This record gives sequence, C-alpha cells and structure tokens, in this order.
Amino acid sequence: MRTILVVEDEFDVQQVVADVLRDEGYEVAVCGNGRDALQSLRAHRPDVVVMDVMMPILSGMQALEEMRRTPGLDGVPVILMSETAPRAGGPRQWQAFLKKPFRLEQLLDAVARVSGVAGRA
Amino acid sequence: MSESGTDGTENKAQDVRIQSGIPRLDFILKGGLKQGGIYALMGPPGSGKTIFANQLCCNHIQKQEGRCVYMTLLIESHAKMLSHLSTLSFFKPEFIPERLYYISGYQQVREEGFSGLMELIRRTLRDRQATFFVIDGMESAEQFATSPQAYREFVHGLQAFTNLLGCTTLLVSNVRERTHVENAVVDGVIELSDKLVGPRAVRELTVHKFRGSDYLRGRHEVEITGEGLVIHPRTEIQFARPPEQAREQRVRMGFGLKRLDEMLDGGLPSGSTTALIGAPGTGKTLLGLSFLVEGARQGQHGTYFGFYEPPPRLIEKAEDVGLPLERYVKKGLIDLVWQPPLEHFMDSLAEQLLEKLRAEEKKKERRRLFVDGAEGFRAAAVYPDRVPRFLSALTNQLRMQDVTTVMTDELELFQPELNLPTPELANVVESVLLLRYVELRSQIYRLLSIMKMRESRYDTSLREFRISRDGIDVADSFESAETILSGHGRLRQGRLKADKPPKKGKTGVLEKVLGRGGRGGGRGR
Repeated sequence: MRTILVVEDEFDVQQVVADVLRDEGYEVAVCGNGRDALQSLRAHRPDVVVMDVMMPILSGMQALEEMRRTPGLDGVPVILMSETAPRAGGPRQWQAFLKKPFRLEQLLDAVARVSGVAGRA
Repeated sequence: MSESGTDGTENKAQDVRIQSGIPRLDFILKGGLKQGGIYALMGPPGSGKTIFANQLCCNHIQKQEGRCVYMTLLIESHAKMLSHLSTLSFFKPEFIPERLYYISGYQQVREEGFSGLMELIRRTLRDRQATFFVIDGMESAEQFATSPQAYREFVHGLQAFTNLLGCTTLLVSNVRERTHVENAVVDGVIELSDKLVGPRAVRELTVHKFRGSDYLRGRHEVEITGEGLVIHPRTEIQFARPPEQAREQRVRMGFGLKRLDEMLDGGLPSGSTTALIGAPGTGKTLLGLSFLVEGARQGQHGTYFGFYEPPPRLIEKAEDVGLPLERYVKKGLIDLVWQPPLEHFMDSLAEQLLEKLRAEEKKKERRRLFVDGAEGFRAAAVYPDRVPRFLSALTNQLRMQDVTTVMTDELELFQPELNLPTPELANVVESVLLLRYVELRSQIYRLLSIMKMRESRYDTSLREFRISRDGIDVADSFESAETILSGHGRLRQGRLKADKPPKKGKTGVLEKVLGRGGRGGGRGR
C-alpha cells in the first residue's frame, strides 16, 4: 500500500484530504506544520508528501528545502498546495502543484501521477 | 519609538498609529489603531469582519511596508477566503506569502490548548517579524477555555506579548455581549452590524471603546464596495466651528432676475445658505438653475447636485425657458451632479458633495451650489430623526467653504397650510424663499416671496413668479389681493377693476385679474 504524508495546518482541509486519500486506498499520516513533517519523514519515509505552503512554525517551502538537503529525503516526491503559485524553487524541488481551491479529481490525479501509480491507487 | 523623556514628548512619540486605509475609519479613530494595541472586532456573519481585517492587512503592507500574519480558527478555509477577497481591489495576492501569511491555529488549540496556541503565536510572529496580527474566529478558541478566567488570561498574555513586539493585533469574533470578558481586556472594541431597517439592509460600525484616544462615538454607516469597506461617519458629529470671519469679502449673489435681485437687496449674501421651498411645479428647479447660470455668466463656478432630473432633461428644461445652461456646462463653469434614483446613504451623499467642493476650493472664484433638494437626503436617511441635525451640519460645512447655496425643499401640492417637511431647515439657513400656487378668480398663479433673510434688508411683498418660453421672471406684487399665502387669494373690497379693458396682446395674469400688473403671459409649464 502506498503511503502519503499530508502536511496542512488548516484542520478541516487536512482531515478531508487525508480521508479521501484513505478512501482511495492510500495509507495516510498527517502533520500540522513543516517541523512536525520533517520529524515524521525522518521516522517513516512515505511514497509521497502532499504539503501546504503557508504553515506555522516551519513553512512548506522551508520544510521542502530541508528535505532536499537531507540524504534519504531528497528523493521523496512532493505535491505542493497553496492559494498562490510559489515564486521560488521549481519542478526540481516539487513534482506537482495544486492551486487551492482544487477539485478532488485534481488531487487524486496528482497523487497517482507522482506516486507512479497508473490511475488511482 | 523614542527613548523615554522628561519633556512630555514621550507619550506623543508613543502614540504611533496604524493607518487602516479603510476610508474614514481613521477619521473615526482620530488617526487609526494604536501601534502595538490589541483590538476586538465583532459582528454577525455577513457584516464584513473578514473584509475589514484583510483590508487592514493589505493597506498596512502597502502603505507602511508592514508584515502581517492572519491566523484562522475554524472559519472558512483560506482558499475560499482568498477566492472571495480576490474580487476586491485592495487585495493583492502578490503579498502572499512573504508579507501576508495565512495560517490556521485550530489544530494547535485543539490539541494543546491555550499554551500550545500561545507558543505557536509567539513563534510565528517572531519568525515572520509581524507588525500586524489577526486572529479570525476567536469564538472557536474560547470553546477550549476551561473558564472565563483562563480565556481572559490568554488574551492578557497575548496583549502583553504583541505589545512587547509592537505588533498591532485584531481579534475577530462573532457578535458578543458588550460586557464579554475579552472586551474588558483589549484596548478597543469595534462592532460591525448588519440589520434590516424596514426593507433596507444596513451595515453599521460602532466603536464601543478606544483606550487612550478620542473617537467618534455612535453608529456609522458602512458599505461594502468593489474597493472593500467604506465607512460614512455621521455628518452631524463632524461639525467644525465656522471661522470667525469669512475668508472672502461678502458680496451679493444674484439670480439674474432684476426684480428678484432688487427684492433681495442685490442678491443672496455670498457664503450663505438659502432654502427655496415650494410645491412640485412651482419653479424651484428653474429658479435654482437661474442662480447657477447667472453665476456662470459672471465667471463663477456652480454645481448642481440633484436627485430628480438627469442632466439631459435638466438642460432641455432650462433651454426651454431661455436659460443657456448647456453653454456653461460645456464651458466647465457648471457641473451637473445627478444621483440616480437608487438606495443611497445620507452621509455618503454629503461626503460626495463636500469632497467635490473641497476639491474645487483651490479655485479662487466664488462658488455657487444648487441642491435639488433636501428630500433627496431625507429619502436616503435610515433614521429620519437625524435629518434636521444632518441638514444643520451640512449647511454649516458649506458655509465654512464659503459656498453660496440654494437648497430646495418640497411642500405638499394640495395643502393650504405651509407645512415644511423639515421645519428645522428654515432655522439653519440664512434666507427662505417661498414659491407656491395661488388660486385667484379661477386661475392658478405662482407666487414668490421672501420669508426670511437674516441680517439683510429685503422686500416683503408677495410677487407673481412667471415661467414662459420668454424666460422666468418676477412680476408685480399681489397688493390688490389678500390671504394670498393661504393659497386661496381673494380680491380686496373695492380694488377689483375687472371692467377695465385688457391691454391687447400684452395682458398679464395680474392685469387680467386685478386690472393692473405686469408684462407677458404667465404660462404654466
């Protein structure tokens, strides 16, 4: 079973994204900020990270930079989500970008594509 | 911030304000929110709280190069909020995320309580170097308080920290009791309301508390426009003291009607306000336009501010009686400002008028204003009992700007008594001109009289006011008749000369009735 880490500070968004991914057969873990995400990543390497950009304590971009500097985490595919397109970084750092608000189909397609699953999990 | 001092400058230096950028909010707050202060903003859903808070953030970034953190607690999602805000011109998505940072604090307070939330706030504000902080959805945080005291301690701790940081803070919540524990701790309480007054939906802003500063108390109308929130402070509390002496030398401002100007001892005193009252159709608008045209003829700038007739119709009406209104409009000497028959806000109308006149103040020439009429303001009033004080304040502001104003007010069409819709208007103006219909020997005439002219000589006779294709004119007095002001004149005993043959072709209405009188025919329009 593919594993996904959802990193999102908005509780309701975090919960709904996690729930729909679980419904699709993924194993999902959740975090509310970038710092907790890094801790989680060091403990359990997921197949994909779905991460918000604006978060407290450590932002999605900061967490992503740290991931790319960390051996073992540098290759984990990341899907960024945000209300505005990130102006720094690029496809070398993340594999997909979802502009909020996004549709369920867009989320599932991005996860399937990035995790290398043909169609959905 | 300055260092402490002993010369009394310390307090002044510390009164640094955050300009809101919300039109006229800073005027109400006498400068804006205090830097480092903590303020409660409350109101029911739909009252504009989120727009208010985001507008403050965007303006703070744009005008004061600030950095804002916007924390939500179980309200609409950031994506939805930003999608709604994107239709408003103040909102600049390019500020996100560097200068405007949206986060949720709900999970923290849910899992770790107030201590976790406070830690998150401390960390975020310092990391982001925030100068303005919003928590939207405070009622959600309150749900996790073990007691009112615990909630109070949280707000108190937040206040202490944000003050230390110099970070101005806005706590946004749904409507609460004014005696809510939060309101006792914060530096200021602002309430937005949204209610129905008759069929009208009215948003209002009230400042209940504002520590360390004067502010404009009471309710102020609020509009949500494409530019965000716009606030209209009550006109009557913006009263400014008139200058001891007029800035201009007082002169007479005529109507361009020889006999009327003679009756007025040369014209209306400049810088004064005149009520022109009369029933519909008595010629108020034409007389007012004549006042503007005469000014333009002398090179003076005039403004028409009306509610009834759109400019093309107004021009046609004036031209029909020989008033060259169009010529002066084209020359830019007369501006026609028309308010379409929509739902207006009384204070917004006054602002529009006064701001236009202020913009023209730099021009040296004497300015004339014709407001047609007071009924337009009355119709826009949410609270009709405000109208007398409103008109008093408005005329005062016009006087302060040395604008010579003629304002119409409508009488009932078929009432013998003279009942002014706003009796107080006659008290606050310097002059009152009355136009009314008079029934005399099965004919309807228009009557013009000067009812009042403060500190000036004037002719008290009742005159016939004529409107014809040849122009508008003031003719002879009705001295042969009596009880004219009742609207039902009767001829005095022994004065009737009905048997006198009328002059061929030039028979005037008074001549027809009284056997004497003016030139030309008094033709109704």
